[in-house]
Amino acid sequence: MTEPNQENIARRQLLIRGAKAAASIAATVGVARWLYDPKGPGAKNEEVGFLGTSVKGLPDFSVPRKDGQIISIVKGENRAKTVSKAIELLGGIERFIKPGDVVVIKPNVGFATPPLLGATTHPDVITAVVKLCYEKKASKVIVTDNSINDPASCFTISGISKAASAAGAQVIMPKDSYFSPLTLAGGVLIKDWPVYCAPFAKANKLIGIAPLKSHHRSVASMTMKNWYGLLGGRRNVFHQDINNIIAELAMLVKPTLVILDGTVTMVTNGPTGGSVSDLKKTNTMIASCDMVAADAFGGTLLNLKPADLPYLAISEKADVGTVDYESLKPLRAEVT
Amino acid sequence: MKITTVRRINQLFFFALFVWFCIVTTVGEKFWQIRNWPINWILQLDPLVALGTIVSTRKFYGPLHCALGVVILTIIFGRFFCGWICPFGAIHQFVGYLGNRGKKVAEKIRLNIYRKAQCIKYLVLVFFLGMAAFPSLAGTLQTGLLDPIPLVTRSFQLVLLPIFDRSAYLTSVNARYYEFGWLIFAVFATAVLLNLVIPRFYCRFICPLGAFLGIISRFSIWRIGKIKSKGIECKMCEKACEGGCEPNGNIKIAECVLCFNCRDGCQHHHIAYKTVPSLAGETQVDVSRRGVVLSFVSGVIVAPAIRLSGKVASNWYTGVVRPPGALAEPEFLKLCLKCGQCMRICPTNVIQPSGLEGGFEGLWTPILNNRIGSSGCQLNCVACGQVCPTSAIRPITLDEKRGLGDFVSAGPIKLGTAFIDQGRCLPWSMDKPCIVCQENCPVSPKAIFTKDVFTTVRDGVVSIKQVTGNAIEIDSSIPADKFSTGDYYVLFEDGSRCKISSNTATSVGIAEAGSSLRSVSEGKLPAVTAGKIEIQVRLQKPCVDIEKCIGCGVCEHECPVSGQRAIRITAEGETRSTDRRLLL
Amino acid sequence: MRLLSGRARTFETAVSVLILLIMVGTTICIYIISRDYNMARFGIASGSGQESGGDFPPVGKVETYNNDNLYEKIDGKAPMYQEAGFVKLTAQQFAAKSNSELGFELYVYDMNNAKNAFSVYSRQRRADATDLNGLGASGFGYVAGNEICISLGKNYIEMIGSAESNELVDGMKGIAKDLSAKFKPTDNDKIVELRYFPNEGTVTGSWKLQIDNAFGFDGLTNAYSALYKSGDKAITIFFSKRKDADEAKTVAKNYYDFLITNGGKALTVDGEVLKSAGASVVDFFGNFEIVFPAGIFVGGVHEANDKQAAEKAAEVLIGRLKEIND
Repeated sequence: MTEPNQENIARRQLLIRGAKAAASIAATVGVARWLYDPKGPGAKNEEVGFLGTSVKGLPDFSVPRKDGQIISIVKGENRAKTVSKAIELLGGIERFIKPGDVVVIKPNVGFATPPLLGATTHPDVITAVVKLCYEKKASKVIVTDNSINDPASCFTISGISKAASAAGAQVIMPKDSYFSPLTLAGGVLIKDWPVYCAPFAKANKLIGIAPLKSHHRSVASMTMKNWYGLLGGRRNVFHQDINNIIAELAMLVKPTLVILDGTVTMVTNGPTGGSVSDLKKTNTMIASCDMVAADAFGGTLLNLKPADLPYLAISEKADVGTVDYESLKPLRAEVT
Repeated sequence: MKITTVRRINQLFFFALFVWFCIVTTVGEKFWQIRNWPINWILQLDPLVALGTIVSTRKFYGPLHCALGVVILTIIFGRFFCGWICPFGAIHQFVGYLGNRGKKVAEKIRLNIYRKAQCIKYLVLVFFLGMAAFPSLAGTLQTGLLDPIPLVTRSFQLVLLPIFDRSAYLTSVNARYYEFGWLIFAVFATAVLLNLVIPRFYCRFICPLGAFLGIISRFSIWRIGKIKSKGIECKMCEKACEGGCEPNGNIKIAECVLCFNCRDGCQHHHIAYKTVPSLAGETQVDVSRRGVVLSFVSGVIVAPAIRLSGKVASNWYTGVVRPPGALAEPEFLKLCLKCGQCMRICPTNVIQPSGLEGGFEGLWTPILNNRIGSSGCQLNCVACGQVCPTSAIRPITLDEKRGLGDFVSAGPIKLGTAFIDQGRCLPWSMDKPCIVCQENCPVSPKAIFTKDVFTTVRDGVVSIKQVTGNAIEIDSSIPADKFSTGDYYVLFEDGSRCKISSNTATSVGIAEAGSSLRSVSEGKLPAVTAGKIEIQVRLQKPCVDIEKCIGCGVCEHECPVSGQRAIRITAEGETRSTDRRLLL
Repeated sequence: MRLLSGRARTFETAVSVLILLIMVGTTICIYIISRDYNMARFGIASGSGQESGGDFPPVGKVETYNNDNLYEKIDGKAPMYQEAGFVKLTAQQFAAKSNSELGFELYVYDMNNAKNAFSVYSRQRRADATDLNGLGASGFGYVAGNEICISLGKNYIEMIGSAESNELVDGMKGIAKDLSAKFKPTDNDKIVELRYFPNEGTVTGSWKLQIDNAFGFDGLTNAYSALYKSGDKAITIFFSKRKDADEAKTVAKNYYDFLITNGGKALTVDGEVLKSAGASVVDFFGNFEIVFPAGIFVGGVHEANDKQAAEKAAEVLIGRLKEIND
């Protein structure tokens, strides 16, 4: 009596166990097939940010061109006034910023130096531009840069983070996960290079604001060199071909507007300067939809001809802009 | 034929196969060289290799598919791998057997009792899996440290074979050297000698592979067990029990390695391998849940903790020059088993097990040491990638390594760059001609070029006493014959220079016109009879063309400054990492 | 003690035997797999079944270069070949079966015709070269240290060994002989002009053929030169076959003018032979140049530092060329 029962129990146990074994096998085989990788890792490794987004390129932030309203040059001492006037001449901020826009402002926050030394963008310009954006009901204004020195110190000592926050903008500090490998189509240098992408992913407008400085390596640092702040990794390797990298950056980034602050120009010892004797009051503010023209004009404040800045010619050849700024009929004004 | 006999034959077979595979890991076409012997087969069978790499990379590398078979068979039959295949286990079993000879039966039985500490191996397994589990938290694969197959492979390839082959030179034309060999040996010897304390010590207490197989054998169809619950409690079954599973009583089925010694030892046939659980009771894996969670979490935290040194980030150790085809460092550390195959097959013996320079994770991973071996990384060799079982070193083709064929636009793979230590370099600082590095540079065009410089030798300014034909007698004494090597020249006051063909202590002879392909002048003496001349040496100062240098290390190996070489390879410029680039 | 039932024992034996068979099968499979090898995947050793160079089987791929990328292989030497009619370079590495580090690289320069090949061959002859014999009537070759260079028909072939090893050089010599044995020369491949040099006194192996711009003068093309032993001095004698006697005279005169224009000083011609041949003797910065027309040939002496020896050599050459003319 007991034996057949025991046998039944044993058989049932066996079947149950068999089923579990079969299920484990099926699960194992399933996982193996799902993860199967016959080739193994390839030469290039995809370094995707922690949040998983990988950007193919930067969006085009520019607005439609209006002949005669491409570049404006305003003379004056007061930055807030000159920059407002310069933007007004180009059609006013409403030409560029629409209600609800997410605007990224990319100033030069490269160094941890006070605004008085002119190595970074002056906070007054930032305050003015941020306020203008909010006047036209931008939904968010972000101020960010990939500093050379420690970002927290740079943003603080340059006064930019205080000015930006006071005007209502959000300051974003660079983080490793905000960079994604990017290749510029037709580029030679920007190939699979980490580029600061994350803050731009959700933006629709981009304004670059650069101080006017001389530069030991690139001769001058103006609106186009300003985009160097978008490069990550050990970007100093590009100093070996500085003109081409500036040109490629200009091909990569298509901003809405660039502002070149020539109120106080660093004429020697750039890009870090270090003393007020490196500075000269040139009292000029430039706003432009054409970076090449802005830089070509800016160079004149440093007594430089376009030929002294090889990256201008390279960029013009790549259709980034026009070197002959006079041909664009710059709008001039003076503000007291 | 008894099943235990077959088991022993099987163990012997796989052990012999393992040793054979170790021996044939040399490049060559002979029978006893690599040909196409599947030298990684036993590593590929190892389920922990597959499991570890799946956890760390979320991918199942194709060549490891045999492990799937082992897993499936384990699910059905139990831990046959441990008892029948694992060569490390075979060694332990044998040494344990030797250690047990002469012991009384009761003593042997006592040594084989189940111990609570046998749960440690499960914690070891979980700890390693924790370390590998989260790539964003510095996931790293360290199973290779204690996984038996990589461990035994490493011990044989890097320690035992080189020791036995030191004078026989059967497996290698030169004595092979391996840094840190002593530590690998110590670990191996300890594991083996512990069997004299308790048989199969490593298998029972430490082996993470055994733990994994124990876990998945939970639902095995057939299992060892008693077919009679009551009876003689002689415990003869446990006399030679390898797994320490106590088949006499409540059998700890996850510890059973299917040695069948219990079935053999029981004179009364109370033990059988059957489809029903043991009538004396059966327990599964006996490890506390708290212990498992704690181990896992520890593993997860320890991984980034050991990376705090920054050795895998900006604080990278520049001497970590990895073999050609190696993945970028974080990816590499997710796959390297530290098995030593690449080190063994490298024909020049230049791949070495690393110490702790590259961080703790780098222990026993392959790095190149150009001072050891016969010649740096050979230009036309891609052997290391061919034998890496997990593709931590990719199996590249020669074209990819050299930047030919389809890879012309990508360029050659650079392992690093050569940097000249000018203070130690003979032509740069010692006024001694030497261009051994340039001569040996294997790439074409050469990555080392020279700058010709003439510089006056020590005490080389002398005055002319008299000129006779091609011989200039001088007023001071100079070392006889020193300047006859063809590297020395006389600089006249008018700026012209003539090559010296020979010299005595008091005169210098000028070479004939056209007497050598590289004479600087026609050899015609300017019309001088008096005045000063300077004896100069023509130095070719080597400079590295960093665009062409592939970091192969031949120059470093050949440099005659044999201690700290005057030209050394460091990892800057290696192509496998974008952030270590030197050039655009 | 209860024995296992017969059935159980048979079952156990059956399972055991099955497992043993699986092991045997595994061994056989492993062995079969091991035989199917391709050493090329390791890079350094050769594969079997390829065309073998005897003890030096080929290694790696055959590389070819044309005029555009010749520079990539031989860098600064490319212009020399390109100016001499270069068509194609085929290169391949070979390594000794017994020792993969001992080997050589074979360069085969297709120079379009035998004269071009001979020209680049002869102009690069190393100072320490010893002639290689056994290359057939149309083959020229020499061994210099670790190199063997051959001119064979339209191909100029270099074999550059990885070490100065006798074994290696012997191996390369063998291959050179094989190549020349397989080579079937046509009439175009024969450099008959070499026989125009004086039979006695010409240093064998010293022939050079300069296709154009010989001695810096662009009017002197297809100039064959060789060393001639005049007394104990080695004098460079040369000649060039022109279209006809008139052209020969023109070229001789032009060369003479070229020497004078560039600073040479004309000397008086001594000796009947030279005078009747219409030879000119020039002192060119301390070296002596002689040039003369001889039938359809232009001949002469170049860069001699002994006037007497030079004149003697010139006389012998004039005599020899006269023989050829007739």
